[in-house]
Amino acid sequence: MNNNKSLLPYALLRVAIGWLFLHEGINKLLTEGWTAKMYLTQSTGPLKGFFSWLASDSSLMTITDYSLCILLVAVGTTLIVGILERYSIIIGIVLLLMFYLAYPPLGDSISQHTEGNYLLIDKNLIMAIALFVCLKTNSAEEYGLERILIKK
Amino acid sequence: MKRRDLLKSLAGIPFLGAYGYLLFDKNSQQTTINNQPFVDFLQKRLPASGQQNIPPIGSKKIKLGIIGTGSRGQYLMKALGFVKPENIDRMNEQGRQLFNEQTNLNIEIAAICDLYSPRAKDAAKAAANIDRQGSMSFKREPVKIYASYKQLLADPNIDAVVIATSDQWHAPITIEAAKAGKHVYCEKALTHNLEDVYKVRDAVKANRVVFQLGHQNRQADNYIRARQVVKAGLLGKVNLVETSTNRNSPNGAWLYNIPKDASVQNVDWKQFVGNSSKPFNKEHFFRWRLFWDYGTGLSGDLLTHEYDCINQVLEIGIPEKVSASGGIYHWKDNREVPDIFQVMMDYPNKGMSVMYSASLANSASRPRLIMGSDASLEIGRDVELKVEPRADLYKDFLKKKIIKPGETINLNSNSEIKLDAISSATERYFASRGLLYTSRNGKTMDTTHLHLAEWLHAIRSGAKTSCHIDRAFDEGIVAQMATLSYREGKMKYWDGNKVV
Repeated sequence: MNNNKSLLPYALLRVAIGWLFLHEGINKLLTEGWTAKMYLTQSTGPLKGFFSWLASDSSLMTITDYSLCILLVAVGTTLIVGILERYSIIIGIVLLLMFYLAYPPLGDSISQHTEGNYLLIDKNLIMAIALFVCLKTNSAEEYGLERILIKK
Repeated sequence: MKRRDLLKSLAGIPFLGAYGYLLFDKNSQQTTINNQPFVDFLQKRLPASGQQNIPPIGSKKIKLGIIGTGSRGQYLMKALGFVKPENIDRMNEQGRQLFNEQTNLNIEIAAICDLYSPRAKDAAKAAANIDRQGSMSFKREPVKIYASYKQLLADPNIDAVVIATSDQWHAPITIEAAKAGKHVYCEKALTHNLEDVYKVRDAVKANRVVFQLGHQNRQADNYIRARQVVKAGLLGKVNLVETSTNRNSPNGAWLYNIPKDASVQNVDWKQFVGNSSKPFNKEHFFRWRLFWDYGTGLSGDLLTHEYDCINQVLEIGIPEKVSASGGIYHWKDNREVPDIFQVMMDYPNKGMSVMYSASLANSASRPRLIMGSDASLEIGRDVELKVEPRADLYKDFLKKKIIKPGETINLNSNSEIKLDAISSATERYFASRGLLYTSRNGKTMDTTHLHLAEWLHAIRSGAKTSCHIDRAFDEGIVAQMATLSYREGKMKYWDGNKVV
């Protein structure tokens, strides 16, 4: 087990990422008519075929939209309060990698109007790596509800 | 359990509480204003979407001749589905995908004409590449090359021609093509001189050929949407329009590459200069846009684009007064045409002016701005409405603070009408696409491809093209008025029939 004091920064990182996930999910749920359809159909990456298949059918699209929102909220909440840490981090990493692969940053952006400039590494990938760090440190066992479950 | 353990285990809860509080606070502030009446107001006036359908592809194969295969001619061929195998090898994955997804228009490019023979040979090879293959698998014979456009027009196999020559040849070739019964897609500017504008119109009308002028903005979603906004009266009375051209690169200032091997042996100079005795000049041939004898300067080259966009949105026709000024202020080369250029177009009877300004030495992004008594509309990659503080039309909404003066209201046809422009990554990504591309049924499409497809559909079905000869006539007259005003240093007037 890590030195207890050294876990505080990791716990803060975990909570901050959780906050981002939670807000993304809540925001999407509260936005009337929000759908990931355009995001999926415009995808350029290796998962393009899979994404356009998801977007091709309206009931499949509804399921995709709701599952994404629910997963974002669930991952966000569990990361903040520090419970089911391993599972939520793994789901979070998978989601981030899917976002990453939907628009892989290959440096040839279509116009200057897109935010930021990325070559191979982008914010999604960095966040996924940050979650990987969280996975290794298990900060929820020190700062989080998991502490109750582990320490009697 | 120790108190310390309990506190540490609950460390995340305050963050969750803080988030919940902030969200509730934010939402309760928002819900005090009910946007719905304004959304209803917009929805009642605006069609749900500015998007049009993709023109259907008919069963009749159309045989085309391409006259002029320089950079624009090559772009048009690509938009028709024909690229040289070596250039397909060079495409990146994204480019190749976009090209391969482009609809097959059911056409054959039967012949090519270009006055620089290496370019003609390349184009003939591209025209033969019907399967969009790379150089490894390409094995077809190049299509026929004609040494002169007259021979190409005499070919009975050819149904229609695409003209992408230097400006001074647009009118003569269009007129002869129309007389030969060939349909015409012609690049801007319509003509090189004023008299030809009338001659082209008369020839196209008398011979009943299908004509499309190469202003592909007619297919772009944002302009189609802007037209709907104006038509719905959302701007009040339009009184001023500002539009511009901003480029700052040698290529943008028309300093095109001159091939090293170019000589009288492979350039048909005599035909280019219409059999005049001018000595061979590579720069004049490859950088014709810089010289008045062949090109039309900023006026015919780039004002025409902007003017046609505005004419598409406002349907204002030819201005009663045009004055132009400017000069060669930056590019100290051999050019004769201005690199800084301003044009004022006045419509006293419509109570409005259009202001155009261009710089070939600055690339600032200036949106097209349509200013009305009740609101203004910015047309860039988005279509954005900004309401005037004293707008009559929006009086009630302003009073109830449902909308604020100057607040951006995004009216993109692709996004839903909403007041709080939640710019998700999706929307931003989508909106970031420039003018060259538009969206049809969720797919990215090249506007030039759509513009050509519309022309081909019109040939097959008899439907009208969007930049037909009457709109082309407007464009041709405006370009000529601006050029004449600049060159003569005088205001030019349109009396309804002629320029004085």
